[in-house]
Amino acid sequence: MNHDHDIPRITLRPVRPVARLTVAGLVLAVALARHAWYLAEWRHYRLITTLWTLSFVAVAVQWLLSWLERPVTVTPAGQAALNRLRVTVAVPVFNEDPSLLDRTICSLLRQSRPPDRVHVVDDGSAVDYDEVRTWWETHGRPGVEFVWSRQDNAGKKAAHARVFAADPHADVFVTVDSDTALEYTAIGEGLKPFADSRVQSVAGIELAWNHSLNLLVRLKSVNTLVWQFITCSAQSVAGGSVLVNRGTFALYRGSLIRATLPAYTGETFFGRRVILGDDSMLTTFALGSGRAVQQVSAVCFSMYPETFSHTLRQWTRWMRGSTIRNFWRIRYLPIMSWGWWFTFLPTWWFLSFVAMGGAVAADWHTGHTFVLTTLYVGALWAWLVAARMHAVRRSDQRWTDRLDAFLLVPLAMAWMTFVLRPLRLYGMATCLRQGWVTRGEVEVR
Amino acid sequence: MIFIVRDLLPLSLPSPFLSLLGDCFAGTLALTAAAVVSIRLFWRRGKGMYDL
Repeated sequence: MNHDHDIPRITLRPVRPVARLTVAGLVLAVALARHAWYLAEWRHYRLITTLWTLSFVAVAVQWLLSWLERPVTVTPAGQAALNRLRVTVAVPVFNEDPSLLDRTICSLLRQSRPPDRVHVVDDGSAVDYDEVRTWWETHGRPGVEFVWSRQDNAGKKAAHARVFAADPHADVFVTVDSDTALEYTAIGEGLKPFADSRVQSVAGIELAWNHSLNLLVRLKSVNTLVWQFITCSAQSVAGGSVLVNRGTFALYRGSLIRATLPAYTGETFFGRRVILGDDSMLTTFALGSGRAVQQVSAVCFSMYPETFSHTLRQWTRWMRGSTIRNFWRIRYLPIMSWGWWFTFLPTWWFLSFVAMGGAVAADWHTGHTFVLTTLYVGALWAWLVAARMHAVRRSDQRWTDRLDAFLLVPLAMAWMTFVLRPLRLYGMATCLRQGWVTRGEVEVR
Repeated sequence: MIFIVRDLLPLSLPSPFLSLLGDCFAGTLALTAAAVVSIRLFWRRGKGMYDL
C-alpha cells in the first residue's frame, strides 16, 4: 500500500461584496416589486399571495446573508491562544477501504497545525487494517499521539464516545470520517472561530474527492455545494446558527462534549435508541450552549457514493436522522432564534411541496402548466443562487470542471426535486428504523 | 427556492387551481404549526436538552 497521498489544496475566491450585494439587491428588488404587484392585483387570492410573499422574503434574506459570510481570522495574540489548545481527532472506522483510511490518517498527520492526538476506533469492522495501523504507529509525526482502538460494533456515536472519554483534557475535539482527507490547513483554519468564546462548534466545508467520477457524484457534489454555500452560510452569518455540521469534518469544544456525552450516547426517540444523526445531534447541543458556525477556509475532501443504491440509502439514513433532529430543534431552540426559524420554515415548505405535488397530480390538465413554469423559473433561480458555490477553489480542478458543475445546477435541482425530496417522505415515515443502512461491507474504494 | 416561481406564474392559470394551491400552502402551515405546538408542549415534557 502506498502511504504517501497527494491531497488537493484550496484557495478562497476573492470577494467583491459591494458588487455582489448590489446585483443581489437589484434582483431581489425587482422580485419584491413583482410580489407587491400580485398582492395588489390578485385580491381574490390574498391568502396565497401573502404567504408566497412572506416565503419570498425569508428566502431572499437567506440569500443575502450567505453573501456576507467570510472566513474567520484572528489576531496574533488570538492565534497564540489557539496554538495552546489541545486538539484531539476522532476517527471512527467501520468497514472502510484500507487505502481511504490510510489517506485520512496521512492528511491528519501532515496538517499545518497538527492535532495533539489522533484516535482511530475500529468499530468492529470485518476488514483487516493491520498494515495501516502498523505503518502509522511506526511512521507517525513527532508530537502527535497516535492511538488505535477496536471495539465490538456499537455505532458511530459509541466510537466517538470512546475517543471523547479517553481524553478528558482535550480543549477541542475534531470529528473526521474515515473516508475523508483534510486539506493541509483544515485544522488550523477550523480552530480560528474558537477565538470567540461563544462559539461551541465549527463546521468544515465538505468537497467531493471523487467529484468527477460519474453523473451521480457530480449531481450530489453540486447540491452539497449549493447547500453549504447558501443555506449553511446564511445560518452561520445569522448569529452562528448552523443546524447541521458535516459528519465528515467538524470541531467541537471539549467542555461541550463532556457536558453532553451521556445525552449524546443515550439518546432515545419514542422509546427507540437513536443511532443516526450523530453530527446533527452535536450541532444541536452546540446551538443549545452558544454558537455553531461554519468556517469556509476549513476544507475536507470526502468520498461520495458512486452507485444509485448507495446514494439512495445514504439519503434515507440522513432523512431519518433529520426527522428526529427537527423534533429536538423545535422543542429546545428558543422560538425567537434563527435556528428555530431555519427549522420551522423549511419544514412547512417541504410539506407544502408535498401537498402541491398532490394538487398537481389530482389536476394534471391544469397543473402541468404550473409544473413547467416552476421548472424553468426554478432553474433560473438555482443558477442565480449557485453563483457562490465556487467560493472555494481546489487545485485539482480546472475552469472547465467548475463550468461543468455550474451547468449541472438545474439538473441537480431536478434530481433533488423529483428523487430526493420524495425519498425524504419515506425517511420521515421510517425514522424509527435506526439501522446503519450503508457499510454492510466496503462500498467506496 | 421554488417559492420565487410565483413571480412568473402564468396569469392564465384557471382560478380554482390557484385557490387549491393556496389551500395547500395554508393547510400545511396550519398542520406544521399544530405539530410545533404539540412538540413544544408534550414531547420530552419536563426534560432539558441534555437530560436522558
